[in-house]
Amino acid sequence: MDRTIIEDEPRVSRPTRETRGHELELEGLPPDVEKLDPAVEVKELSLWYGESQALFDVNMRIPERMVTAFIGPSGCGKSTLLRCLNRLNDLIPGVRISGTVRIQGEDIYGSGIDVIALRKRTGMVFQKSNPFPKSIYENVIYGLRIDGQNRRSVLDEAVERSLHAAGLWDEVKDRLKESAMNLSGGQQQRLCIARAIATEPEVLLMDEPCSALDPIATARIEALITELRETYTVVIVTHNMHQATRVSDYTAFFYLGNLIEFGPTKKIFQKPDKKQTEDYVTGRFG
Amino acid sequence: MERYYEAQFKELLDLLLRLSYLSIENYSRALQGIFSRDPELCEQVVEADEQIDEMEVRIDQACIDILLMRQPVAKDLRFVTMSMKINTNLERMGDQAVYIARLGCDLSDLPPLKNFFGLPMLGEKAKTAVRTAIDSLVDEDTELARSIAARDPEINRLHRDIIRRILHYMAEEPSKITQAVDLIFLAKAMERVADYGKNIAYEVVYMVDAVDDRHRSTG
Repeated sequence: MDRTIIEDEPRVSRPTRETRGHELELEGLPPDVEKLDPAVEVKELSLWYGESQALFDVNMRIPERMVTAFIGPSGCGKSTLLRCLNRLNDLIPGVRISGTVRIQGEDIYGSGIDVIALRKRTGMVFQKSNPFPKSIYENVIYGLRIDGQNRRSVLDEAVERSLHAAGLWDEVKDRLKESAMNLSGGQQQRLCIARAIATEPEVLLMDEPCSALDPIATARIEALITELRETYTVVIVTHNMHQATRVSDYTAFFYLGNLIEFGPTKKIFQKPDKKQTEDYVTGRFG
Repeated sequence: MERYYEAQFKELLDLLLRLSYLSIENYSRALQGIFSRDPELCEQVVEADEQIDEMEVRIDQACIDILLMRQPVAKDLRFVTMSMKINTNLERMGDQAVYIARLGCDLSDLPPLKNFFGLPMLGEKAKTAVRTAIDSLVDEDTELARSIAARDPEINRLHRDIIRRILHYMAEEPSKITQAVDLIFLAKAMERVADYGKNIAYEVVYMVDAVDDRHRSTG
């Protein structure tokens, strides 16, 4: 376009501003994460796969009963960090970890920690739903059975409560003895969530829980996540940034094993402090 | 890394600049038409407004396309919301140009007044506010954008002063009241154009710095 009409006139002088505008005040912004009680506290956490370092001195406080999303390009360390929170990386040969992870104040890498008990406190849902080849009922109470719980009334109550919480009860209440393998993909994923919360964990870890689901099943899981935050601390790894904006209160952006920025989701997606974050969320790299 | 859809954002900016060119030019033509008592020029302003209206619709559609296809966040999101608001302000500037041109047609049928009571100066200042706001958009220059709001009180004072002078004239020359009333409407239209410049400048500040200056400045 011809911009001469715009540029041919001298500009007005630039008086000193006497008043400053207000920083973008985002409605309903949750408080600074440092002011909240942490469910999980990560301090100077580094992790190596053999010689290759995957996490570098990560420090963060994951707030209680909030949804925290981990975002970042593939290989940035977000899933690795998630697996550190229930010591799932222990199962990988050659993994070495330094730093601390505290859940409700307890160092989960400290001596004397019962890892099985820890994993009951930190329920996990994976990318691909993984129901056991058992009935719907037995899937839900799997963790309780391992715990030695056999009282029928306790198990029945746990099944109903967990399936209700996972938004699945109305769909399966009349066929609890049927195989879980007959459920649809979205139902299977909700069953896995029911199984994860049956043991009443403190933290629910979700590693791309919707990436294998269609949009309708995804919407149901997202609605469920927003309900679960009333009771649980939820940490979700997602490649879908719009999912992070829809479901999370806080977002952490990782890049090359470093935590680049962590703050309220609205801020991360509207006015991030770091250029690297802005470049990533606007699709300029990654 | 340049995104494969970067051209879509550039095209939106280009459309906005084209609309700004059309609106500013039509407003200039309206001023020239009314002050030179040229009804033909005023008619041209009315006809040219159709192009401005079409451009407004096109820009809105371009914004909706980006929102739909790119789901922008951060500065991209602010750029699109800013574009929608600047679009509205520029189109309204076009409407004021038409209003001024119609006043020009009416006034050219009436006996001339002895002077225009400082209205040409007000008209130019309003135009400068919009031009400067567009400059600040092109350069993403928030300091320049903020200078527009800082100058708004000066325009408001000039507007009030002109109204006072016209009212005084009306008392002195009751036979020219019809023309004088038109000039009061003209002054108001110009003052509104200056406000559009200020609105555009606020949007530029928001887009660049994510700071909302509205209702805070001295203007």
